[in-house]
Parts: sequence; structure tokens; C-alpha cells
Amino acid sequence: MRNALRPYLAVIVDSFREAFATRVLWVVLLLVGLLLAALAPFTFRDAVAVTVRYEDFRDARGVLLHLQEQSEKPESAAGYLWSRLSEPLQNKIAGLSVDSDRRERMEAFGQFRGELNSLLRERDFYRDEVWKGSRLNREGRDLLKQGVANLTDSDLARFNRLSLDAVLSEFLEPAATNAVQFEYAGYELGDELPFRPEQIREVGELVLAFVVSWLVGFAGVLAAIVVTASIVPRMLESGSIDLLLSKPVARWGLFLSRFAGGCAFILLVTGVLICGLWLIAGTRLGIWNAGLLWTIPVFVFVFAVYFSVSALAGVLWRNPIVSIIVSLVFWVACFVVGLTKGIVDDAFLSARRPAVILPLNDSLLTVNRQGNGFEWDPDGKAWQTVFETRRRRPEQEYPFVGPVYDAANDRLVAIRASNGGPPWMREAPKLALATRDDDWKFSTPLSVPGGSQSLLVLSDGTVLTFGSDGLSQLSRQAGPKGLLDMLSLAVPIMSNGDPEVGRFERVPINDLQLRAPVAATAETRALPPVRRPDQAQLRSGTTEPADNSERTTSDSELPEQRRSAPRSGLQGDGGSTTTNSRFVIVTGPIIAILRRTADGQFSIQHQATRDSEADAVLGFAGDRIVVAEEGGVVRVLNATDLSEVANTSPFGTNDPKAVAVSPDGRQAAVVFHHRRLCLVDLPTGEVTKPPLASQGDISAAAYGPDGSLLVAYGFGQVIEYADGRSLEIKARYETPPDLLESVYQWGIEPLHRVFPKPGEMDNLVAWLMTREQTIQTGEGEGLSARRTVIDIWPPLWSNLAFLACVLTLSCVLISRRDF
Amino acid sequence: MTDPLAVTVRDLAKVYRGGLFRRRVQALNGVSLDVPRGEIFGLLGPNGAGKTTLIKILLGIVRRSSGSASVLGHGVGDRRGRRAIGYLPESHRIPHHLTGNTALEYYGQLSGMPLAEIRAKRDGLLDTVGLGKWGQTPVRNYSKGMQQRLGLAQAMLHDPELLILDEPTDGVDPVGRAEIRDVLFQLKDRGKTVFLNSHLLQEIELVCDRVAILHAGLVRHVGPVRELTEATSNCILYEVRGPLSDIELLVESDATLDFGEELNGNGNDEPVGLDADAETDSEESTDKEPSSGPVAVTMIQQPHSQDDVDAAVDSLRELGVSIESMSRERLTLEQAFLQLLKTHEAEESEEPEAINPYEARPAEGEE
Repeated sequence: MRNALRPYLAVIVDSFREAFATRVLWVVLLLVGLLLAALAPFTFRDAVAVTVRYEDFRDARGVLLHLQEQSEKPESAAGYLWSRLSEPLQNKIAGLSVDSDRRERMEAFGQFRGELNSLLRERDFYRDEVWKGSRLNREGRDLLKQGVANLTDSDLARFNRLSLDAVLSEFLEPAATNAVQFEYAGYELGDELPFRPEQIREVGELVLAFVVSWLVGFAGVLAAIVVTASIVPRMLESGSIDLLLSKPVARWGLFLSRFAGGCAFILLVTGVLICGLWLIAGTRLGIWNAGLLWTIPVFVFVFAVYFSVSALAGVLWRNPIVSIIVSLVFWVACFVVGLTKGIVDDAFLSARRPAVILPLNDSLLTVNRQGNGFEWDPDGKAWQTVFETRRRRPEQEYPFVGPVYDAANDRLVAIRASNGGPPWMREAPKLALATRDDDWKFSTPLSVPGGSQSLLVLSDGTVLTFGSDGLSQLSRQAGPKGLLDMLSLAVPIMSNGDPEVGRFERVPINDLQLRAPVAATAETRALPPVRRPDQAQLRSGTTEPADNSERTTSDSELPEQRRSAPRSGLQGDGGSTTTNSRFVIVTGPIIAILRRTADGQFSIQHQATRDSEADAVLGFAGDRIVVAEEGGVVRVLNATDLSEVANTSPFGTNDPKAVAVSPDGRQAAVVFHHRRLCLVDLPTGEVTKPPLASQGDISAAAYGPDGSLLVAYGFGQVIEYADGRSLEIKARYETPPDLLESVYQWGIEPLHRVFPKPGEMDNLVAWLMTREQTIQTGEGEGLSARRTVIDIWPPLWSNLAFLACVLTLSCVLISRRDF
Repeated sequence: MTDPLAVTVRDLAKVYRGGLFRRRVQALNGVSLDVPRGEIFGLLGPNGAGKTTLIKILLGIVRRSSGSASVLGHGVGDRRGRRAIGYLPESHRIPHHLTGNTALEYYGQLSGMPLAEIRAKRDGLLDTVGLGKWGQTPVRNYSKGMQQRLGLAQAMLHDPELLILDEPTDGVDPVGRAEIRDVLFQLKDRGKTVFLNSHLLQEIELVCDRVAILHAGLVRHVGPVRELTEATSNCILYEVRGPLSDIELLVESDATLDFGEELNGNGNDEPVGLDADAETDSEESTDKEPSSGPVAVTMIQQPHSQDDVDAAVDSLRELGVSIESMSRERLTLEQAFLQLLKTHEAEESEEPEAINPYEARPAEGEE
């Protein structure tokens, strides 16, 4: 065996001898060394989170208008703040109006942020008399006890920032508890970044995966193509090949060992580079990630795919320049196919995937990631658009928290995020309400409190928002009419047809220290019995003409029969409504069940600590709570004492996206970001991965009022199973694909499937480093951020197949050729 | 079982197709020859005769179009056969990053030798080819002759049964040529077979036991060098004195007779890639004068039998031409080669099917 391999090993060894002798290897290794030396001084240290960053503003427009409004009241905190601003800035802010243009606002806002940050360094920033009414958090109070004069500079800045947070909580994200400052050779790079220590690793891995993908996977591979292009043509030079072929060796063996020699050369260089990066990441950033080392073979493989094309061109034309050109053409072709698929998939089609299914008593709604709502038309057997959200960019992420169906008021409740765009244009998120009578058109009557991350609608119709700032309740009393209220377009909130003006009020929860991440969900209950159609007709008749076709707000695509037609076979089970409303919250490591007491306050019914502080999505029904955590853990808890019934990771470390719970509390469906679904038998906590055809393509799930399981897949299709156990198909709500979907389905996707995808191997790199099948592509953090599902293994298989084909072809050509 | 023949070639043909329109080029057109073991065999032929194609087919570098060939009892291209061949290609190119030592390591390993064995042998081998001091020097600093010597060393390294050497002395100085010749004789003494392809006819003449002459894809002659020179040395050289008109008449009427000057004159013009220093020995060619009086003329006769000679002498004497000298000429290989080519070119332009007198003698081993 060894004797048979000896000639081929000699060829591989000779590649190295050649590389050393021609100095190519030395030059490349020198460049790698320089690069590593350039990266080595990069490090970070712990820092206190002080700086007000652009991203910290929840409502940039509101904060300036608030200051403007309060400028005449120097005794208020905002008035005091105003007085500390420079005169030119005061004038600038005073000159702003609702319709000031972008540029003006941007300038004023940028300057405002700058002045705030310099104020934070001043020892006389905090004034007792001003802050008297404002609540400092515990950390702030502790610092205050030490005395402002005694604080170190960094503690002072921290204290000032906490004081600022206390007065601008409505507009400003509270300062992070931890921060890191990145440094390069002792120089600070930008402001400190608000990362928790455990996030450093996560973020560092993502950054590393990105750097490695581009540095090695892109620039490195391109350089490698050029450096190695002459390997095969040089072997085939006349005078040289004659001698080789006269030796007792197989031609294909000669070719493959020459090919392997090129790969081995790249393996050496990549190995040095990646090991260097690994050491730097480990020693300088504390990220010891073995996955990084696994990327070495991946990159060599990516290179091998390109090199196989280069080698084939070398066999055909025996010219290194032609080899380079052919490889680059191939590279561009792969890039174009991948990019086309990526753009069509990510930017256009992915946003069509349903994000939420709302099986109501007598109708079925879905809302997709574009923020567009659809209702199933049983007569036309088609989805009809009921509302659309204007987006600035096609890939803009889901603009809602919710919507949640408020059975008590027969309306949809949601929090609608700001339209995106730059921070200085950012506005506070709005409460969005849509009623059936108004064709589910959303109105956004008022702003929700800053930092609201969860929306709770209790069974009596109480609307709560929950975030790291606390719990707020929508009350029906109008607040004092300030400029802000005017701006937030305080319009009547439709509640059973009675126009009311409401506002959010903070609801204190005793004995609970809130900290990120936070999540909350109300108990899932069976929907109240369906209203009889005549009642609905009667009710709608009170405010609108009975004749649907005369509706002014409606778009022409709404079918006339929509509201009176029987809906999709979804019937309520007549479950009773109780006013004893419970909900479950997660804050940091704490899980708690809260209930409303008789006096309208909220108190903790049970509280427990979990062994994680990961972001989570929740489900709650009957006596079971489902906590699906970032990192892939699904916990089932007993709602009576919060004891853990089960704890599994059905899809490894893939992150969950949403939890749906059947109203009877028997089963839960957890949808994951990588578009797979698992079912949890709630009494036992047993998790199954149902063999649905749509697995891998599932974007949402919900339980109907009668316990049926609805699963949304594809670009807007829904399938209804009679129940989550038999998985017997009850109904399909599907429309034929449109042109773009057809082109994608029959053109782009198959082409992409068979095409080699060397460029997509960075997915495997990212996966090796993070072990996640999704990449966050949207803003924000945690489980609600938009993610792109990455293909990890398919590119590997298609690349392997391609590599095998090209090498076989080269071997056949070289074996049949006369030299 | 050992095949007594080192190389067997039967009706070997090769058609190349190349260029934009896949033009046919017939490189070999039915070649047959045998080379017994232990022989130094020379392959001669003008450029484009198909010599290198033949060699490459023997090595499996080029695939044959038809016919058969075997080397050391194995079909051509068989790896077992190639293991016992040492090959020195024409204008070969040893990669420049190698040194003399590493080149031998590389090619030795390609021939399946263990590194230790190569290292044990290589110094002696480099000494043999006259590169003893140059083992550490990179090949890029080698002269053409040194590269040639290194090429020869790598061909001998794995102690092959058969050495196929394509222009082994190309670019080598005369002293080096003599050394290489010695190496070839040593190989022969050790029972090796050498298949030599050279333009240097002198070289071939000195070392080869037998030669084959290849022209336009066909073997024109196979046999010992002596046989070839003797075959052409049938020629009889006449130096006569007499009236030119009579002599001309005689030359026209007797097909075996020719003027000597023509043979020699044409020979000098032959564009067959001969070495410039190749001697032509016909200085005495033309001293004929345009008078009708007796002139001295050189004539050459290629008699088919002694009768032709007798008849010519009789005719000359009848015409009153005095025969000043008459000698049976023994040609050099070069002269024989040129004459052979000339004959074939003439035949091919007239009647391609004509029987070649020099092919009357069948190649050895042929039935």
C-alpha cells in the first residue's frame, strides 16, 4: 500500500518543495503573519455603560418635543435638562416643529446627544431638588448614598447616566448593566458597547465568524485561486509531463496528487491563519472556540471547489491565466446564483411567510412578516388582504408585537414598531387596534410606554404592556392633554363601540426586580362562544350602513360576503370566561405568575428561578407553562408551583420563535426560527417532532378554538389538523403561487439547489462557531429579531457532488489525452 | 517468463487530429520492428518522421490509433512495463525548483523507489554522468548539457531493463558525448537494452548495434549499421576520362549509372537536420569542361549485379573512354541515410507502391 502510494506522496511533497523554492509560500506566510500581528492588539475591557448612544433613543422625535414643552418649567427635571443645554442648541430645538425636515432634526438630535454625553461627565449634573420626584434605581440610590462628591470619575458618569435614565425613561433605553470597551493597542475604539459578559462570547463568535468568512472565505480564496492557478498547467508543460507520464504511475493519480498538493498548500496557509486567529481570540478576547479550528477544513474544501474548476481549465488549456479567468467566471456565476436566490428569498418572499395565525371563532386571519394581514375567504377559496403596512425597505422586519385577539372586545391589539429608519427619525412604538367592524384596519391611537416588549390581553379585555421598565396598563381615562398627547394622535379607543380616550399607566409590581431579558404571555383560554351572525350584523349596523359594499374604508379586494359568511369551520368550544386573569412573566432568571387582585393591582402568585437568563418565548394554559429559551431549551413547568415537569432541547441549540398552546391546556406547539415545529404534550412534558411535510418551512402555528392545530408554511399557506395528536388534515387554506413565487419555486430554487455553492459554505462556518441554524438579520436582539434560516448541509452536498464531477471529468480528460 | 524481445511493434499507426478543423495528420503509417534485449538500437529519421511519436507510444504517453506494440512483454502503457523503462525525453524540462539530488529523489520515488535506496545510489550515479559535484545545485543553474546528464541519471536511477533515450547528447560537448557513449556501453555490458533516438548519425554509427530508419511514418530500413552502409556501398565510383558527349549518352542509356557530382551535390542540400559538421567526401566532383575533347568525369554506378558492372566497363571501353580508377565505395551512415531518403522521396513522388530495394531484407524476427 505504502509502495503504491509512494509516487503520489512524492508529487504532493514536491508541491511543497516547489512552494518553498519559489518563495510563494514564504510570501503568503509573511502576509498571514502581518495580518495576525495587525489583529493581535485588538482586545476589550470591562467598562461602565455611560454613553448615550443613538440606539438608546426610543423616541428621538418625542424627547426633543418633550424638552421643548418643558422648557418653561425649570423646576421639572426636563426643564432643568433644558437649562443645561447650550443656547444654540436650545434655539435649534425650539425651532423644531412637527413637520421639520429630516436634516434639521438630525442635526439637532446629534448635537443633543453630544451635549448629553458631556453633561454626564460633570459633577454638578445631579441636583437633589430636581430629582426629588424621580425614581432612581437601586444602583443609583447606592451611588447617591456614597455622596456625589466622593464618586470616582467613572462612577460619577455612571451615576449621572442613571439619573438621566430616571427622568427620560419614556424616551431612553436604560443604561445597560454591563458594558465593554473595545481597544486596539491601548486606543479606545468608539463608545463602550452594552454587552453582558455572556454576550461577549456570542457577539465575539458572530464577529469572528463574519471576519473569518470574509477574510478567509472571500479574500483568501480569491488569493488562493491566483496563487495556485499555475500548479496544474505547470505539471502539463511539455518536457515535464512526458517524464512524469513515463513513470509507472496512473495519470489520474498524478493529477489528483497534484490537486491534493495544491490543497495541502492552502491547508497549511489557512491552518496558520486560523490557528493564529484562534489564539488571538482566545488570549485577547477570551473566546476559545474550537469551532474556529473546524473552519480550516471547511475553507480548504471551499478552495478545493474553485481549484477543481481551475485545474479542469488547466487540463483543457494548460495555461494559468486561462485557469484564473475560468475560476473567476465560475466564482461570479456562483455568486450571482446565490445572490439572486438570497435576494428573492430574504427580501421578497421570506417576508410573505405568515408570522402570526389568528384563528378566530368565525374567521381565520394571518399576518405576515411584512405586516400585511390576510383573511381566508371560504367562498373564493383564497386569502384576501385585509390590511397592509407601509414599509421603507422590502426586507424590513415584522413591525408588530402581536397582534393578539381580544375576545372580550372582538378586536386585534398589537404594538406597532416605528417605521425603522435612522435613530433621529425614530418614534415611540404605538398601540395598534383593529376591529372587525372596521375591516381589521389598524389605527394607532397612542404611544406605548418605552421599552414595552410584550403585549398582554387578559380575558376581560385588559391591555397590558410589559418590558424591562415594568408593567403598564391601558386605562380608559384620558391623561392631561399635553403636546405629546396631541402628537401621539390621541384618538378614541374603540371598546365595544364606545369611543374612549385611554392612556397607559405604570402598574407597580411589588417585590420584583426587573431585568432583561423580559417576556410575558397571558393565559390562553378558550374563546367565548361565537356570536350569532344576527348580533354581529346588528352591531355593525349601529355604526355602519348594513350594506357592506358602501364601506368607505374598505378596499375593493374585500369580498362582500366576508363578514356574514360562515368561517372556516372554526367554532368556539363555549369555554367559560373568568375574570380571574393570570399571566406569566420572565425577567432575567425569574419566572413568575402574576394575577390581578380584587383591587385592580397585580401581585405575584408564584415565583421561581430558572438556571438561565436567556431570552424566552412563553405559553400558558391550564396548569402548564411552556418556556422556550434562546439556546433551544424547552421547559414545561407546573403552573401551580412552577416546578419543572420537563426540560428538553428538541432541535439542539436552535432558537425558538413562538409558542402556541391549545386552549384545553393539553398540548403546545413550539415553532423554531429554523422553521421547524415540535409538539409538547403538556401533562407529561413529552416532546415530539411531528413528521409534517412542511417541517423546515413552518413559520407559525396556532390552536383553533376547538383544539385544531393550524400550521402556516411556505409563503402564506395554512394547513389545519383536526388535532395535534392524530394530525389528520381537516382543511387547507392555500392559494396558488403568484408569478414571483412560481419563478422562485420552479426556476431559482432548483437552479440554486443543483449549482455548487462554495460561497454558502460560510453558513457552515457560522454554524460551526455558533451551532445555530439561523442568522439574525434584523435589528434588535433576542428571539423577536428577524432571522434568516441558513442551509448548512445542502451546500456541502452540492459542493461535494460538483467537486467529484469536475475532478472525475478532469481525470478522464487527462487519461485520454495524448501529450 | 522473459520475453527475448525488449520492444515489439507491429503495423503501428498513429493519426493526430488537431487544429480548428480537426485536420488529420498521419504520424505513423504502419510501423513494424523488433528490438531484442541487450541491444543498442538506433532510431533515425528526418524531422517529422514519427520517431518521437513512436517512442511516446511505446511509453504510453500517446495512444496508438491501430496496430500493436509491446515493451518488455507488456502492452504499451502497462505500468509494469513502464516500471522497467528509463526515459529521457527530447528537450525535457526538470522543474527548476529541484536540485540534482532532489530531482533524483522525486523521479526515483515516482518510479516506486524507496527514498533510502535513492539516497544510497544517487551519488554514484551523479558521478557516472559527470555531475558528482553538482548534486546540491538547483537545476535552474544547470547548463543544457548538465540538464541532459541529469536527465540521463534519472532514467538510469531505478536500474531499468530498457532505456529509451531521445537525443541524449543534445547540447552536450564532445567530451561529454564520449562520456555518455561510455555510459551506454556500460549499460549494454550489463545487459540493458537501449533505444536511442538521435540526430547525430555519427553517434548512432559509433554505438548502435542496429538502426531503423523512419521516414514519413514508415520504417525504411532496419538492420545493423554495417548492413546499411554496405547496402549503399554497392556503389562503384568511376573516375574516367573521355569525350563528354559519349559519356552522357552512356549514362542516359544505362539506368545504373549516374554522374557522381549529382549525388554529392544533392546530398549537401538535403534538409534533414544533419549536423553541420557532417562530412561530404566528394571534393573531386566536377572538373568537366564544356569542350568535346576528353574530360575527367566522376560516375557512380549502383549495380544490381556483377553483370551490370561488366556491361558498364565494356561500354566505356567500347566508347574509348579510359577508366582511370574504379573503386567500390563504402559510404558513411550519413551518406547512406541521405541516399535512402532521396530514393524514397523520388519513389513516393512517382509510384508510391514501388518496392524498396532496401526493404528487401526483412526485419529480424519478422515472419
